[in-house]
Amino acid sequence: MEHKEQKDQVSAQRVWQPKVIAFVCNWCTYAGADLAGTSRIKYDANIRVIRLPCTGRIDPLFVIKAFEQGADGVLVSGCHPGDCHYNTGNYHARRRWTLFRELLEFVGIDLRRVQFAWVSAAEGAKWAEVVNEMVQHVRELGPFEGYHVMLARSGRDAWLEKAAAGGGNGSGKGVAGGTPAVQKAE
Amino acid sequence: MYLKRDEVLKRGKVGLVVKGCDARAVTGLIQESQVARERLVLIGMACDGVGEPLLDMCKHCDVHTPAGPGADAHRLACDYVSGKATVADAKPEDEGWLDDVRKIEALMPPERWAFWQEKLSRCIRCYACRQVCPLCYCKRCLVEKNEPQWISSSAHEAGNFAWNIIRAMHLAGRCIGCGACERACPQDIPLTLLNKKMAESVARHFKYRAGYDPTAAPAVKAFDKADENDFFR
Amino acid sequence: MATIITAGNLTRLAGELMKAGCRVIAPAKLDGMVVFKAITDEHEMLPEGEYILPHSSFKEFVFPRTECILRYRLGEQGKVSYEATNLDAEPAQAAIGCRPCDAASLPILDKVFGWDYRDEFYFKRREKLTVVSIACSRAGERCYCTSVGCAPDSKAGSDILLKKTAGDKYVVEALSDKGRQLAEKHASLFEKAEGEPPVEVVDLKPAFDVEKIKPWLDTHFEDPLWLDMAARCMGCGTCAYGCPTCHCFDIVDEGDLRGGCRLKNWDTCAAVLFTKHGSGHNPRTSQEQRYRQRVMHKFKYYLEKFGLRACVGCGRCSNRCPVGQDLYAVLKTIAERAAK
Repeated sequence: MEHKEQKDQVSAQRVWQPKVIAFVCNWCTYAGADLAGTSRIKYDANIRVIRLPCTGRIDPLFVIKAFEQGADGVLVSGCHPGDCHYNTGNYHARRRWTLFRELLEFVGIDLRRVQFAWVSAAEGAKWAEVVNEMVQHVRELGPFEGYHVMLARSGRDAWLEKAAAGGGNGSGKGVAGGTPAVQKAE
Repeated sequence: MYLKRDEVLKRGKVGLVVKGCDARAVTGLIQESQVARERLVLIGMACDGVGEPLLDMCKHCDVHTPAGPGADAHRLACDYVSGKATVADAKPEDEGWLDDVRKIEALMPPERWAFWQEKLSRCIRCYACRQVCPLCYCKRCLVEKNEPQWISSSAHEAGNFAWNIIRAMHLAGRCIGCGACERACPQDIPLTLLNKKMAESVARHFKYRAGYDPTAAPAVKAFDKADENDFFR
Repeated sequence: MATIITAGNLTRLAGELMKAGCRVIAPAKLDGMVVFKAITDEHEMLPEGEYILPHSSFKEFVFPRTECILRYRLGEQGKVSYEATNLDAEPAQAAIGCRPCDAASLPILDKVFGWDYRDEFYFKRREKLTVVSIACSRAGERCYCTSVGCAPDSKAGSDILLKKTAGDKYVVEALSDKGRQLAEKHASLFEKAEGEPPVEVVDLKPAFDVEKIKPWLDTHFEDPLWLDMAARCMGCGTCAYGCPTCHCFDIVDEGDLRGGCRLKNWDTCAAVLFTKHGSGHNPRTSQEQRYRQRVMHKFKYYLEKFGLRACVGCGRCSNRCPVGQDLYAVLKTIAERAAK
């Protein structure tokens, strides 16, 4: 009995993998992540990086959008204060995020799901650390059930269910592929 | 809101009768270059508060009497001011306006989530909150842009959540707390809670209150190199 | 011989229906408001004396604010599969304790949803709906049903009409097969009474002559009155979304590379983008034009096309309007102008 439960747990863990979206700036963090790669530093593969020109371009809406696409966590990262390629983009971003995270907290979102970092182009190791820690946090929290339930109630389960269950490769493989016949609606 | 209407613009200079809180809204519009001070003739009216029973915002109002000619440059001076309020302005240390925000904050995160899920699920997306807001002046709202459709226009829970969160965010540091959104809401969603929370955050972090100083830069437009940085790794 | 149901048995009727798997829609409390709600406990249903008119109409249960009408998925090699939403599994529903004005909105909606194309999403829900309305013994401040040809004891749209009589009882009038079936099925809850018990129905005098409205509209497409009336309109959708007869909707697709939903959402003629064309041209650029459309549609176009006015005089639009725009006052003004 116990053995079966353990097995179930293991398979459940296999099925669910945290899906973390990282919005990063082109000039620092993206280059930092690149450095992590060229330095052969291993880190969790649960992160999907989206590159933007500057943290100043990362609209709070992107975070909402990421959750709407089934993300379990969102990481935002850019140049250290003072190092912005556009001089002040990250200062503006910092103000926005200061407010936005408090708003999210106020509506009941666990802030371990939405994290922020400054990672420079030279900080490949830090990038790996930040990602590992973030993924660890989200792993502990589990899937973002609250948001997933909300999406399901909004009729979005149809094409999210498999992506979530299958570890979310995001490529759309396996989703809705099983029914090649085109049905004619009324 | 009427100030930006074509019908109104056509008619030239506008005379506007304002209470202290309305003057704050006008201040916000001037700060954001939405209306030129020269285009307005402001007639300030002292106000002891409105509503039966008195609106909560009026209990904590600190602009019962609008500033008149000769006010310092950091206050919007009306051209005329009529009367003087008989009630005292709230003191800066008065935090009574945050009572209901504190109540929500005292809840556990899952309870807060459940609270907002229930409230926001009621939204029918009539956008009355937006239409009556004195600071929501965009000719085309984000929710009406559909290439791409950033915010779903459907009144399902995901769409409602995104809309209401982003609405609150877009008003952060700009909302003057008039409460028109909540009064207009046909579904009784406590919208001012979100706005007040943002006003509280803005005041705590950036020592800024919206709608007081027509010469100041709005909180989210400005920055300070010494702003809080602790939450960044 | 009249048929009677007591208030207690009306609550029991709701309970029995729910037990039988029926969705019961009844006036219930939501924070400080009275709204139509799919109740889960018959005691949620408010006694008739505690409300005059629920805050929102029940059209949501035949025409939801948002509904997925089909789902599509993108498969291998770009093949698309899709399925229409099947509403056959929807439960039967009964609206209990609604007002005759709400009930009267259904025959009006039937017209537009069944005109050139039969809207299955509407009709499937509509066919499953049984309407048990209670005639009004009181009128709200902004009730004007009698002014637009409806009445506090109007029979239109109701399957069963209840009229209040002494001792917290209602005289039952089954008006359709659906209504008679319901009464037969739950016969133990109904009782017989001798003669015709006196009923309480509010006497609401018409405030204007509605027949004068259309002739005025016919000749006053351009009139300075429109600007006067519409100047304060903010262009939100509160009136339309609260209106039991407003039926405009928008079709949107929500999805991504994997698939998505096609949704049917409420829309309103008060919104700027409502009439915006793909070309960028917008035939109704001002709020004045949009407000005119709302009045014209309800009292001229609908009447011409379907022989009914798209207004039941419930007054919700006036109650809900954030800037106090009052359709009743507008109509009265028009009727007075027309009389001159």
